[in-house]
Amino acid sequence: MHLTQEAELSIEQSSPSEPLLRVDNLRVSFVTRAGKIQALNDISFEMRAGETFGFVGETGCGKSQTALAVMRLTPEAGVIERGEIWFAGTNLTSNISQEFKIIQHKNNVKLKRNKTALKRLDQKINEIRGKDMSMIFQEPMTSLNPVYTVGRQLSETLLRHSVDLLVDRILARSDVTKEKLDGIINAATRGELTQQKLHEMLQNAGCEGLEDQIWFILSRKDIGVVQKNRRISSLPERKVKPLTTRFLVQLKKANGKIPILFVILNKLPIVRKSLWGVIEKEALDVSYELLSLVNMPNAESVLRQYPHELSGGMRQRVMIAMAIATRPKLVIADEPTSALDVTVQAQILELLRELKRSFNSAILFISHDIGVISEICDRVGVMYAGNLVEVARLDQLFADPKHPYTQGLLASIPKYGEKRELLQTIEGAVPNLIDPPKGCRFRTRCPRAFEKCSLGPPWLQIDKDHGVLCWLYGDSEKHVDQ
Amino acid sequence: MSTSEEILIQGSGLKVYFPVKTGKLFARALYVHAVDDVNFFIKKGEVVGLVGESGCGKTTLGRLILRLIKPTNGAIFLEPDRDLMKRYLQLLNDLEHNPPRDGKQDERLQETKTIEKAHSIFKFGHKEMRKYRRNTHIVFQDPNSSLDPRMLIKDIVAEPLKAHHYGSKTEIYERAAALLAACGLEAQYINRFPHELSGGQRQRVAVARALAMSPKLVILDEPTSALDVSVQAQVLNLLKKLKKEFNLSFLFISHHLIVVRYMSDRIMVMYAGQVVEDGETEEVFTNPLHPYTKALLSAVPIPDAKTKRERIILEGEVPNLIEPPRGCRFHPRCPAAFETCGWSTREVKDSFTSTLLSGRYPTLSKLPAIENEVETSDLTFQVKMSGNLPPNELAEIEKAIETEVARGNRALKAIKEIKVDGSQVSSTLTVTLRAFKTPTLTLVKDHHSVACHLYAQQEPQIMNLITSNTA
Amino acid sequence: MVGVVIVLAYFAIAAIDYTFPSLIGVQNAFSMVPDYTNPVPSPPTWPIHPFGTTFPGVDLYQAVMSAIRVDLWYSLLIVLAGASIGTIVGVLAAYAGGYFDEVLMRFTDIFLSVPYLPFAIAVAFVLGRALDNVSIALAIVWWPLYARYAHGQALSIKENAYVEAAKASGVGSWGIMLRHVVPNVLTPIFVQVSLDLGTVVQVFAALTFIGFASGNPLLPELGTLISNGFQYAVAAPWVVLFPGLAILIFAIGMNLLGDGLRDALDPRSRT
Repeated sequence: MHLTQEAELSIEQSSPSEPLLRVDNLRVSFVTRAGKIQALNDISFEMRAGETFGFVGETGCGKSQTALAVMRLTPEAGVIERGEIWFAGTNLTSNISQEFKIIQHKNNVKLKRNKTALKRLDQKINEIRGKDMSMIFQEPMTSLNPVYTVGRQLSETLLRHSVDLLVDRILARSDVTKEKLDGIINAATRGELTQQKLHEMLQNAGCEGLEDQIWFILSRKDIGVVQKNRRISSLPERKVKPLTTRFLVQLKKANGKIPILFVILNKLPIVRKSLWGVIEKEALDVSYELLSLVNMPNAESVLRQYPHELSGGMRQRVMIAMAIATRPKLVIADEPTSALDVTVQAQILELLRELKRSFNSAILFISHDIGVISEICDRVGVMYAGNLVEVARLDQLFADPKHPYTQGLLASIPKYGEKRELLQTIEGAVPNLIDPPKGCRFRTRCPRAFEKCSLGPPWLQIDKDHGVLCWLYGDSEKHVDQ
Repeated sequence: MSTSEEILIQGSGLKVYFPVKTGKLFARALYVHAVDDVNFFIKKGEVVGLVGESGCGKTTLGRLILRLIKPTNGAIFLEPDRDLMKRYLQLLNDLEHNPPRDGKQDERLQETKTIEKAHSIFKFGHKEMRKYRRNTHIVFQDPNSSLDPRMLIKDIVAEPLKAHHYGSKTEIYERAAALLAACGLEAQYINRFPHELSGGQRQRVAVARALAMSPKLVILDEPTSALDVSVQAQVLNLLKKLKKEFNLSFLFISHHLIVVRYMSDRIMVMYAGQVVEDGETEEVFTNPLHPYTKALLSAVPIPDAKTKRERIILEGEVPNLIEPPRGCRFHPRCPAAFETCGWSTREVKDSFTSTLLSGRYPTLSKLPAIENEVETSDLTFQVKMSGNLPPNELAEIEKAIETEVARGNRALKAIKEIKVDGSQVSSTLTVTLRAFKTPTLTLVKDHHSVACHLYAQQEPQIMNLITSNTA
Repeated sequence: MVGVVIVLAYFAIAAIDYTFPSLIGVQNAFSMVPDYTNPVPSPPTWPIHPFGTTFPGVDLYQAVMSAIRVDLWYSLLIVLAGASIGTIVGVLAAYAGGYFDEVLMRFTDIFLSVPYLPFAIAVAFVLGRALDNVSIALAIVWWPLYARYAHGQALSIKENAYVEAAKASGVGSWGIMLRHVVPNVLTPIFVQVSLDLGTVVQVFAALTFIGFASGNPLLPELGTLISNGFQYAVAAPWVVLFPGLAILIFAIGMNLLGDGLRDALDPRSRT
């Protein structure tokens, strides 16, 4: 699809100097009866707009927890002890000292949560979550609400976050006349219409809000030219009454929040149909467009279906549609393909690549499968036992893995086509995070460990994209403390 | 490869149909065709990989071999006598090519039944079944549910030994300890409960249990899919070591193609309950023949920096096994499907009507309105229109269909002819499709068979077994 | 923890009452001793009548102690009988499957649909009004619950991989049922038993309160005590208070015990 003006602006804003997401020295712990689980240990990384960053690691390494922390969705027993998370210029962790308190009585650790501070956080972050930052989970069955239809769930996202988009679309249809569209139709029939040209023509006519709708009609593959032209020229016919227009303008100004009076009036079918109902219908139309974007077969009937009636691949597509509905700057995908078959996984990855190209969202992709990571990511972060041990570009990671864990991990995967007798393995097992090894957490299994490793290892930035947390490569000022 | 030419276990005509509960009292019986007419064989000392996606039947087949479920049809023979198998397969082949008529049929069928009764594991009595259970075992995917949480590790491993009356209690526990040691489990864990062990350790226990009675065949059902990559490497190494040491044969079931390629000597690819390709691992991976295998292999995410690869992205999803596609079950998604692959009237009818209505062909805009579409038989359907069909419209329709086919619509390829019955008031188009055949597994190259019409008809794989047995 | 203490205390009382009643100051463990000279309930006085007396002049403390024993005994009987029968039926049905399963479960359903009160009345009518008969009635009503519960548990346990592994190892059907299915079914059943004991005590007391007691009005039983003293409840509240408390504390204790038992019996916590 195309870039809205907002997306264009945000890219300018957040590159190259200001990263889209910046995490500094993030430390997350879980307070349990058995002790304090040090789940994330001083994690620091950055993501630029439009890049795909992958987190790879094994069970318990903390990759999912990192994603949850970024969305401030850390589970009940978890606490962000310290660190900063900056997203698009907003500090999401400005208040953590007030939100959580860890109280230590001798051997017992207790967690205290400040409800008011957390409530304030919720208010702040609910504007961002779902709108600029969205998430795709591993199990689509449990992340989709089974009692609402797909169409309803998609519309809900739009109605919550993108009311201005919907209003623009509706109002644009009211402003345009058939004549203005004729020019566009002619250009399209002749095959000369590019997205750029469409944008210009609409700008001249003063109705940019139509761009999405027209472009969608033109890119449909299931109808012929004649039908497409017919649909474009029928756009102005879907006008709304002047009262509705006034309502919509007010709604846009109030940013989607309608006064209580309206909520009550809305119950009357007449009111509902002409006012809020118009927006809801628009949201449903956009949902249809979104489903087509994710290559969902039979999109119209899917809108009316419930999640349990769809297969795994289709549900995942719905999740992706929900995630991109609001044109987010960042999409966090937590093992989105792990529950799918290989061929369906290939379809989904292909879809994500396509969307990456058209929407230019940044993607934080989490997986335990290095193969999947290498299909879609630009840069990769390797995590082990709560530490980020190496960050590199994809080619750098495979050509020159620096951290011994990365090396071991890559070596333990059977090489496709090579019939080696035995695989290389990493001795031992992942340590307990309640009482991890002092210093470098990998040293108990590392074939190259030495005395210095019992001190917190340094983070060395080897070049612009490649960094490693290891004593083998020298020293630096930035250390990971215990 | 350390495989002999001797066949350890062989199965033919295996079918497993699960009845579906429709809840209606007198509805037509519906079945899930989980395994449909599968033949397989495993040689002594061989590792055969069984790959496919969810719903393809590989797990069901694994359990069938162990007789943990009952077959709807078919027979499996363990260490069969060569000549007997030759005779049996010849009979089956004969029955297929010269379908039974009265009289002569009974003889051949009778003979196959006699052989099955005497030797098929599904006809084994209690004693023979116990012996079979000594020779086979299984390692499951989920290390959490495959060990009884209330039993100590040593008891879990001792269970098969006790069931087969291996010896005295001391002997049994000594052997259990030795097995666990051979599987790399430290001695301290012997008296623990499963939940105190990690996933990798639990799988080791499962392997030790499987090897308790020194079986000849071990079925590994996704043994490492629930484990981390580094743990997986340890378990795979262990399996390789044990295979060599005890000269085992494995049936390695997995959806993880990289691991299967690493472990197997030969692989079988299953799709929707049938085997579509069978051959030596390296041969199949480097020269896949079946379009599904090609797509499957191209979809495997390989960990390396070279991301650009020719990827075949399949449309659609794995088919419904209650009403699987006719003919070749893969044809609706197959990029190379053609006329005889099994297009049914429903598939073609939808495509046909939407072509006529799509508006892509301005010449067809003069068509009268379509009233009704009816499937009249297995291979024909009719489209009723209200109004007269202008004389050269039929030619226009045929041209449009041809163009559609050229654009990639494979369903319409199956149309053989279109006839018109017209009058002033209404006209009927009768569309006839070409007959289709179900592909069977046929030998294409040395030790490489595929079930696909793209490959010229050659000797069925059954004969391969016969020829290999005559070595 | 608290639950264990309470329950143990009750069982201790019951045991001592049966064997050495005088240890806890009970004169006659099997019958209440009326004092017709002073039939009106009198308030608690220490040390003669720590709980006071109830109609007709029976020392409440002794009565309650013995009543605990009686109630506990019958409740245990009912629950254990119901649980045993129910579990066996449920597990057999689940393991056998097919028609046997269906038939057995429908049979269970029939019993489930019987309302306990009218049924108890009917049984009492036929067999005579004795506590034993009431127990029989309750046991008959109680076992279907266990059958249902055990059936569901057994079905899901049957699906576990370790059952298939046992089959592959050559263990016979009975072996699997006894060694794998039953032990794993028993844990939740035990928990349910402990919870039910609390409930049954209440039900039993309720029945005897209504008047299904034995022909012997002097048999110490908590429900009987409450019904005896009911008319005096306003003027002499201790008469219903102490027996009521006895029931209440027992039920609470049993519930707590049940919770704790659930955690304790899970082999996962045996580290």
